[in-house]
Amino acid sequence: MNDLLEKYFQGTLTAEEQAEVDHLLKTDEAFKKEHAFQRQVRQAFIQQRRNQLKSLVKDLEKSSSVAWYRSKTWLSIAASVVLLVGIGMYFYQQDQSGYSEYFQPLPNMVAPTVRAGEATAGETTKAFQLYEREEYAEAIRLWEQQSSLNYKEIYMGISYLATKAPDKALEYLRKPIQNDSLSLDAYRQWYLALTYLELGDRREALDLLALLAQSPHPVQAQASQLLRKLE
Amino acid sequence: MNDVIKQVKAGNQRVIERLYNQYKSGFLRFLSRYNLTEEEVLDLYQDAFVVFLDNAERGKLDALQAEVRTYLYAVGKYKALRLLRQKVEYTQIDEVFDWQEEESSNDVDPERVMQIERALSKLGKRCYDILYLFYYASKKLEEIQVLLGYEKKDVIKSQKSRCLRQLRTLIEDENQ
Repeated sequence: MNDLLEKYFQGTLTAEEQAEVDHLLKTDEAFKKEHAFQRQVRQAFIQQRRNQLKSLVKDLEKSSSVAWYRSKTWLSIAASVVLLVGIGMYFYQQDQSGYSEYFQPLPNMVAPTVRAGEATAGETTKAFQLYEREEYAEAIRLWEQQSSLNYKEIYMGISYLATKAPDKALEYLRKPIQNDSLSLDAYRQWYLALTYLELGDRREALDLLALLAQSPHPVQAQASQLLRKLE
Repeated sequence: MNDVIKQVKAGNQRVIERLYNQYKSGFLRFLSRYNLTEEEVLDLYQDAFVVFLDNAERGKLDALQAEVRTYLYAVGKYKALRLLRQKVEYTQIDEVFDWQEEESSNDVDPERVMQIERALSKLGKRCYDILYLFYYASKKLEEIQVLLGYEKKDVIKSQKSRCLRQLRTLIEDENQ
């Protein structure tokens, strides 16, 4: 009996033996019981493993519903969106300094408006929403109220630049970004260069642009273009 | 073997995570026709996905011709119908389910299975390993002999019998 059961679970029954097993299952109570018991042992192992897998799967579920703008997928999308928008795609505006031609606000990559009309947006999100709607002064006001917030400075700098307050913009765009997980520092330098231009500080602007044009930043192309134009 | 199945078998977390997210919304939509809550459907998806992972691991999907999605939907539908029968308190329907001989077995008493699970956790490591390899991983005795470093196959044979007896005792002890 045990030999047969052994073969049953190993899957090595011959046709003859299979027939014998079927027969015994119908006629031999002891065999039937032992067979059922061993099947249940197998089932117990499977159940244990499945419980483990269920926890794993539940973790997958949790991590997939993290705020999508913090997820890795979104960040890589954001990076490519910026490249597509291309800081270099502009309307041409007559301007000596070359500044207006090249100024386009950096897309909000920090706290995007996930759902339109989301009533319960936090203060940070509100500030960025205002920024997106080009209500720069309001955005600045909100940001000023908030204490530490990563990437606040660059967007405030850009907002000041947009509202023609380059001296204030300078204040904010001078400092390198700490914890630059979104790699925005190159953009910061770009806007800094534009700020110098707007302030009439050509030398500083050119130096910065030259630096940017040299290394493989996302803004490299724009920097070289503007550099060529100015020289 | 399907490349995806191979990756799942190897425990590639990135592939597993991708698959989970890939099939989720379609599955939820697929089961939306049934009278189930959102939570229940999500739970069914997770259960179906677990069945998929488990069977892939144990080599049961090595020859799977169908798409993973087809497999998941089939398991999901089966479990959904079972769940609904429970809700409505019908007697169990005899459903022939080609892929899941284990799921549909009527002679496996869930209460008893849990008892055995508890007893398994009380077994010594040696016994647990032998039974695990034989019943769960479907290894042949010769293979187990090699894996666990036994000299003779006969030794394994008698060990396994002893371990099963021990398991039985543990279960009966619980029932005292």
